[in-house]
Amino acid sequence: MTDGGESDEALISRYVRGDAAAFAPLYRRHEMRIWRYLQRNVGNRATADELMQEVWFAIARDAARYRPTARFTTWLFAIAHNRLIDALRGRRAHVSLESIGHEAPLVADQFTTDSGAEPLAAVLVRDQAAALAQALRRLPHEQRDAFLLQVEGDLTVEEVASITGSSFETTKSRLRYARSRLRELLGEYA
Amino acid sequence: MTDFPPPYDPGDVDEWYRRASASDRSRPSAAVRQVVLEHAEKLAAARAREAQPASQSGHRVGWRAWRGPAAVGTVAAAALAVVMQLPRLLQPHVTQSVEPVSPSRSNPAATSVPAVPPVPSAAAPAPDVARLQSEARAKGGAPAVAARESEFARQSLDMATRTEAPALVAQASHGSGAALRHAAEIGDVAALEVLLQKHVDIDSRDSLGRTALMLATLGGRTGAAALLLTHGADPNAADGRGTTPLEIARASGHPDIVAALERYGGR
Repeated sequence: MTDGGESDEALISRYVRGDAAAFAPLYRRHEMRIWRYLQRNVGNRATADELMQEVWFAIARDAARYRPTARFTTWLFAIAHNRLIDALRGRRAHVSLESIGHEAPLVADQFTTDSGAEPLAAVLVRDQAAALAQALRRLPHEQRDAFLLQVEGDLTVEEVASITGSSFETTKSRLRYARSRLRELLGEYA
Repeated sequence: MTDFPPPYDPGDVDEWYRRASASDRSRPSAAVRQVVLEHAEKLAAARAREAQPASQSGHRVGWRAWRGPAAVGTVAAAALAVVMQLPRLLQPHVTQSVEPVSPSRSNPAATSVPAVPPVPSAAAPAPDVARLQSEARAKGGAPAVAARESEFARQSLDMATRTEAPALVAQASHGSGAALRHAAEIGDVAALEVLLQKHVDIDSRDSLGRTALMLATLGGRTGAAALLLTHGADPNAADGRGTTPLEIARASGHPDIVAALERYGGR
């Protein structure tokens, strides 16, 4: 919960009981986090849009299966992760683990900066954002996925491990390597 | 004064990420948002319709929701059983067994006692019926059998009308899954509407692992497929061989169903 309103768990519970109005605030609250997680993983806006739709359809359809033993965010990102993996495993010919690294222009363009900023400042922000996008792109998929899950989902190492089906130690290593590599790559930019 | 972004500290990757994200104005397309929210609204409306009888009639509503269709189905089944028994009741001295089993020498009664045909599903699990059948075979004698079969028919009818019996309700539930799949297969949208009001598992499967949506797709029943999707049927529920409804729709050349499945996340 980030907007001081009802908790995610309360909203999903209301939605399961048939209160349609409970879904929109839930969607709005997590829309950008899920979007960034998907878009920065696949590096393609159209594919990210497709996956975004699939993820939220699954949330709406399977809402009754959510159990408040886990945080809603963990469940949400688990669904997003599973959809992403399905897409990457070749259900869609145009997205694959191999192809992700070859979409440089799209990845760089995915950061659309605030047009209201001063021109030079806007350029700087865009450059910095592009540097991050390119750095993310150069990470191995598992490291990028773990990193994005953690920063976008605000998840613990245990939660990331649970979602990715990896051990705690493996996940911890991936996160450490991801940050180390990003630091290195962004250091070149800085 | 121009607000230049402060230089990033590459040592703090998370902070770099947060600031880059904060200035990122890219969004999912408005169409995605609209489709998602509309879909969620439809599902909620369907859930509300399902929950409505519960809120109106208080406790034991689950039983009551089932009482009507279960009673009709089970009474019909029992009536069928009675009809099937009628010729034997009128002709008590039947000598030919309907069972394709050779008469047992150790049980001569088996030659003259007609086997009780399988009871239609609603009355099948009744233990009393099974006991009566067993006793009839053991004791033999046509008049006795006729009387006991009459008793059997009566008890079948009684069992059929006692719709609150858990076994019958369970069977009705099972049967409704089959009914749902059948309605989907033949494209009977009106029947689907009725069945979807009940607590039917929309993704129940037949012996080949096919859901109602899969069967509607196979039959090219666009209306039925669309109705099932709007009620939350899993668009990716694959059959026992792993074939998804979308794959079937594409292979069968049903572009409308392909489009509907894709809209609902079918893969």
